Amino acid sequence: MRDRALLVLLVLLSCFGCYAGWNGANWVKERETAIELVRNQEQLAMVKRRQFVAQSYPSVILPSIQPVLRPGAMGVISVGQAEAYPYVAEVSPLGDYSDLFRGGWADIANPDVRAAGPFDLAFVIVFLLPLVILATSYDLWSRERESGVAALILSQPVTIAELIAAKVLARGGVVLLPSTVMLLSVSILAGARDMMGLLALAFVVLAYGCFWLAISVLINLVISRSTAAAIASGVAWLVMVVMAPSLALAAVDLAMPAPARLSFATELKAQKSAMTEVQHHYRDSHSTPERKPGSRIPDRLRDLYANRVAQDKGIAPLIAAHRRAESERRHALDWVRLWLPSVAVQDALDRIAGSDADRALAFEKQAREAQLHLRHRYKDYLDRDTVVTLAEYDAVPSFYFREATEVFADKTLADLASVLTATALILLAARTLCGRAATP
Amino acid sequence: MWRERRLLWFTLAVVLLAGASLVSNAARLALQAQERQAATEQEARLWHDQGIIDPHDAAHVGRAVHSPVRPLAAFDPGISDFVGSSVFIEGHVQNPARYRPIEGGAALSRFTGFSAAWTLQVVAPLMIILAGFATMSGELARARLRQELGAGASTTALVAGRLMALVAMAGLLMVLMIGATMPAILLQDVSEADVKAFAALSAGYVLYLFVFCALTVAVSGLFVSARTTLVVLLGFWAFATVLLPRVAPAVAETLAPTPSAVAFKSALIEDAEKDVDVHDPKDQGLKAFKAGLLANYGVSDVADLPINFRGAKYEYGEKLSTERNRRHFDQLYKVYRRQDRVQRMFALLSPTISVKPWSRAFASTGFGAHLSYLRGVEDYRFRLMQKLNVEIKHHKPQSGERHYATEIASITRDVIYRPGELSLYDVAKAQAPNLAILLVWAVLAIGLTGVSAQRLGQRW
Repeated sequence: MRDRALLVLLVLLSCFGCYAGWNGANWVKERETAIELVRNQEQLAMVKRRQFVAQSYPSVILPSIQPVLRPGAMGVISVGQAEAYPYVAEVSPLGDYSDLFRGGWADIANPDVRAAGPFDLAFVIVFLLPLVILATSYDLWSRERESGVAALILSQPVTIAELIAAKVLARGGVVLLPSTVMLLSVSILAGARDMMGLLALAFVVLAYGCFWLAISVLINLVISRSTAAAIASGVAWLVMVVMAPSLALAAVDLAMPAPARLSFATELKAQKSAMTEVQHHYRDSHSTPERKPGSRIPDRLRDLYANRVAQDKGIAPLIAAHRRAESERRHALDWVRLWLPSVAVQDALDRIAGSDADRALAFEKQAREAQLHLRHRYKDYLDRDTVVTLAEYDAVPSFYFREATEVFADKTLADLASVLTATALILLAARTLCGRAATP
Repeated sequence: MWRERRLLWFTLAVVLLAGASLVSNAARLALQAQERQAATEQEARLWHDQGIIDPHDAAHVGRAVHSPVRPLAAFDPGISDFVGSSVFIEGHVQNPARYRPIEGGAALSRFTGFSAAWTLQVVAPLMIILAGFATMSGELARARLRQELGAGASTTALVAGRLMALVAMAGLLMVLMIGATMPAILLQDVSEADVKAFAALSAGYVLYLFVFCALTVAVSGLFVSARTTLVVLLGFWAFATVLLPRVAPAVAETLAPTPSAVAFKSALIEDAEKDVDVHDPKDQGLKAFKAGLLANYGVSDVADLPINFRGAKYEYGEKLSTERNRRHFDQLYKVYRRQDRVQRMFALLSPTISVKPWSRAFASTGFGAHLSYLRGVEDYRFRLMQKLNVEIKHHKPQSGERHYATEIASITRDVIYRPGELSLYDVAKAQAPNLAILLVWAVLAIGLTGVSAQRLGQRW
């Protein structure tokens, strides 16, 4: 009966895996389509501004660029944090930090759908794979104990540890290996092509599967009745996959609440408004002396530039403090993940997929660098008092996101190490409990 | 014995954890309320401190309106973390809400959701199953049943008795949960409507848990082996409370896809480009409006108009852009509603899909409450912008001045933001289909219990 159930469970897992893979592929396609739209808008805006350059309009006309963050090569496996960070920025030479992501609207998907969480391969791996493993191994040894066969088996020249190890290997071979192959195949079919990424995915699935097999071994050594073992397995899943991470998140929220974004935005607005007023008063009472001979670029642009630079300097401490608070909270969240195997696996999958927070933050940083770079160019034209030529306008480089090249980066390895350490500790505990396994 | 003792501990642990989650949610809400209050005051100060400026400049300075913190969110946070908490209002544009609490997190942020409501939706059914799967299946239970039947008891009475016992246990769990919830909710600023909403919300959970009690007793009577009963019930639990609530929204999104934010905004801009541009003197639509206005007043030049043309065109433009934006957003909400309908179809396979929106709606943490906040803000934005435009319309600039300027605080003092709130009647009306589905589930579960009793009677 169990073998039939195993087949049914594997088929079900495959169906959910295929649907999740299809969802992942759709998500990547939609993101790419949105990015294409942004690119077209950027091109149109460039063409419009180019007309002014062609007319040698007395101003510094540089293209406004729209940096975008494309999904990673393994993006189909996890949506991760990709919807929680901006993937489009708007870079103009005189824009400040707060303008960078203002134009790009936040996600407008149905919040009811978002609150349910994405049905991607990461969900299948983190939530459903353990259920299948537990459903097929909850009576790994308890069934023998319950039926009284355990004593008979142990009367043979074989140790309990060897016996359980053999059973786990067999169960792992029958459940975990086909599941891993299925998940890899679905990922490839959905569009994941990066060999190192696929290898990392296989490692993560196997490590996580081993963790749940170890849990199953522990339960079977402690509990002798298979019904009770089934209940304990269900509770273990509920606690480890759902409740513990959620409570850990609540604890982090309580101990280190997310920095107040509303207050930050209002404070930023207040500071900018106050500085603008001061600058207006200053310009009113200290008008820029007229140049002799007159400059080609109007001086009001120099004043504007100077105002922007001064404003940037003025708001920098506020922004730095806010970013520091955000970063500290993120570090706390990152640190907690290492104690929770399900979260560590989610994190590893996000990193493999390129939908992790660190990649989004790297994009934000590079977009800011592009903004500063464009501003330096602007200043250069002001200093030289020359207008931008068509050739120079066309030569302004586009934004290219610089990817971190390693799939097995430090944090992914830390995730894997965390899962493997937890597995080893559970197996160690199981080793000490082996004596209890002989009792019916 | 193992089961009963450990089940009791597990129940207590879950109630305690739910209580802890409730307290932490309440603390978080209190912080949010403080923050929003301070930010609202700061926004008002900034708006009033603009001094004497061109009202149209004030329209572009804009101001932010923050969403209210709902006291019952401590019990059921619903979609609170997934919707923006502030809308920036300005002329010509209807901005979506921004600053979603879910933003800026890490992998752990994906594991959000543990709350008292979640405990009742997911963990309480599991406890009912664990407590009741062996009430009539398994060797011991069957032997006891045989004795009771031999003593002359009817199968219906025996099944009903076991169902009542399980319902009493579920009721106790509800009482414990509500007992743990009340202090955290009462510590906040709750109104009478909130208390009534909480009562309605609890009634939904009573019905929901009753369904699981009846299903557990029915399945327990249908299978001889306790193990088979447990496997069937655990399978149903995992399917109904964990899997389907995740699958249903994904299928809904597949069948009725939401446009990306970029595509939505691009469509809006494209539509706006086809419409009248009140900032472009060469625009044909603006020219037609101007001609109409001049004809209306019987003059040939804007300078001869008794009103300020600039204000009149902004007033006209605002009306057009508001209608256009509303059309686009209504289209988006139509997609949401289609998705909700698809999800509701899955409720026929899982009662959890019905109780979830019921709970959120009465806790004011569902999309209905958020939409009424958005509509309240949009109504305020329109009134505020038109007030500024009408002010320009009625005042021509002084000679030598380019634009009319006035003290913004005094002219907008009587434009008050009225938060959009849904009445309990509206909520109940919107939730009627979910209640109907829960009732169907209850009737079906009772029917199955009847079948179970009948089969037990036939067996002996």
